[in-house]
Amino acid sequence: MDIEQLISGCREQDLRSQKALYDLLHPQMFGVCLRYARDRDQAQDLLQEGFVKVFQKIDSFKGTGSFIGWVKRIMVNTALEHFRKQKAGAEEVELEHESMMVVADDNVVSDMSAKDILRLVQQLPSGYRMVFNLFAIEGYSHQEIADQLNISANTSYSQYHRARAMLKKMLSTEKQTPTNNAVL
Amino acid sequence: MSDVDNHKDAFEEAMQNAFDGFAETADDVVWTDIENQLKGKKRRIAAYWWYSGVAAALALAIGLFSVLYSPSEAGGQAGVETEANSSEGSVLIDEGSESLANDGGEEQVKDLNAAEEGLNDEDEAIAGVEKEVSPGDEEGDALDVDAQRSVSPNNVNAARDEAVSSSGREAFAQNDEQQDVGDPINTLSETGGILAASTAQASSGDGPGGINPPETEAEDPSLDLMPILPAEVRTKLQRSLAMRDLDPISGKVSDGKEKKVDDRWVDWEDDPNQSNFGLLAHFGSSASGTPQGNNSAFLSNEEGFGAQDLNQSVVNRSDRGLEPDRYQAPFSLGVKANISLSRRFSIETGLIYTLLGASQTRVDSGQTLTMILEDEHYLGIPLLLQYRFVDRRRFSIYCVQGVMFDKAIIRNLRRQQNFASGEEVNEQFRGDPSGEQGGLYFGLGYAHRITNTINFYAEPSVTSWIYNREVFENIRNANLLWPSLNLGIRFDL
Repeated sequence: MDIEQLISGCREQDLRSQKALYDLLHPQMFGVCLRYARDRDQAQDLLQEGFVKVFQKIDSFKGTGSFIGWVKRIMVNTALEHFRKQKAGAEEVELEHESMMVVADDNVVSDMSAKDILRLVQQLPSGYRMVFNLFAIEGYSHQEIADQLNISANTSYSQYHRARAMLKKMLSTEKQTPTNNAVL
Repeated sequence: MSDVDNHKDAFEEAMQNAFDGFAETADDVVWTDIENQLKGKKRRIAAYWWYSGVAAALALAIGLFSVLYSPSEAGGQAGVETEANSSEGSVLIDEGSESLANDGGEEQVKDLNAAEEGLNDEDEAIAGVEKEVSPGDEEGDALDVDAQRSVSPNNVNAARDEAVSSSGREAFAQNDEQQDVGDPINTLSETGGILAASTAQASSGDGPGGINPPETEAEDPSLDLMPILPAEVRTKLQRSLAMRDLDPISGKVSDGKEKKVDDRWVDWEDDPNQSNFGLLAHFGSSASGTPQGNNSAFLSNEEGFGAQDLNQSVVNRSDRGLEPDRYQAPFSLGVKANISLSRRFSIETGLIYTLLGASQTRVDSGQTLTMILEDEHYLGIPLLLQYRFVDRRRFSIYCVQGVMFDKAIIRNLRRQQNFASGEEVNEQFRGDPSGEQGGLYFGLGYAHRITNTINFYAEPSVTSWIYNREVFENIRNANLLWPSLNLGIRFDL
């Protein structure tokens, strides 16, 4: 059964089609959620909420673009929504990372697996993590990130560079003293 | 535009490469939670449809109830009371005729009422009455003939003439005296514009029942509206009021207490084919029939209510044809075109065929069962707005509302007569279509897609048809809400 048939089945609220579509797409989408979440549990919450939205809103998918891209966008939006709620609730304590802004070798990334990098990304403060994911991996501009997070473009820029420096620092440290406490 | 630096270097590229195609399997519990959440949503949707279905079923049940019970009950009772009054009226005329012959005007009315009351209060007198209308008694029959004819308000004179020409001349002479008594009442009724029809139709005209109604009607404030109502509506309302207030047997104003049952009528009701000499027909005999028995004298009169009169009366619709006592189940079949306005809204039009039917049953002279069946074929154009609650690939569920315009195209009449001899005669006529009718339409439907543009639909609906006196006396006019089940093919344009 191809993805078009699954989409048609999901439009008719057919549970078997929904399960099949979930089985097909959820690993990739869970990878997205893991990047935006602080841990696996939160990533699974995002994944669940995102897929429920997919099944409920599937009638609004016009079929003009990539369905996987549409689902991924829903996952990212769900993560950003969570972030906005957290930000409105309790202001996260932003650590001063200026001391961590050390120059690191860019090649350190290529030497590590995605899981190792993910574990470090999840350790970033949530604001930094959002900006980092949106700019470095999703490819948005700072202005687009600013619009989505209700911040200024300069704030996005500065937060990204702090996140980048912090991550490079952690990557350097990780490379020197590798650990096995993976969060995945 | 922001002038911040969006430059991406090797670090960002390395990050994108690291996460490109990254996938991880989530715990099974995630799908379980998703499934539960989706089922919860479905349960809410199911509850919504359940309540909607109950509401729709209730509305249809109310409409169906009004169709199945109100018209047949009203029609049946009208027939019962009319004919029962007629027979009883003839008896009372006979008993009270002596006093009527000597007095005039209101004095006579009082005397007649007194005679009627006296008769009803004394069992012996009633026994005498029943004896008088026993089979073979030509005088009693003639009286009944006259009284029955007088049920039709337009045919009092014809009934009188016919009765005179029949073997019951002597009896009619008595009745004629009563007619003289009744005339002042009828004259008064015509002047008032109300009482004439009521006297003639509701209480069978010439008998005491025809004299009592003025008191009853005068007390009813609803009659103030009578002069401004259309003639048919007025007649129906008057009949309804008379049925409510008059005892169908005695013709007296009902006090809500137990009514006396006329055994002769009950017998007829149980077996319509049974001969009942106390009951007479409105329309006389068939020209092509060979009637036998006691009504031969009546049937020998060819100048009165013959078959030709019946045909002309019904076909020409000078009096809107028959007054149905039974309606056939309506049936509609159509082709519709659906023009989408948005994803869920669309405008719908098309061509709908509808068949309506009604029948009237009479017993002629207690010997012949006559059934007149009328059916009319309509073509209608709906103009509806449709909203699809559920719109799936294979089917949709929707509600629709709007207006309907129907035009009659064919009208058929059929008369079936069963004589006491066992002979059966069937005749068919083609009538003039009766006209147009409009109504407000509401329906809930299910459409099953056969192709992307063609679907089959089943649509239970309720229509409130605007009363039109010109159209065939159909089930639409008899009920405020007209439920129907529409089946058809719809083209999505």
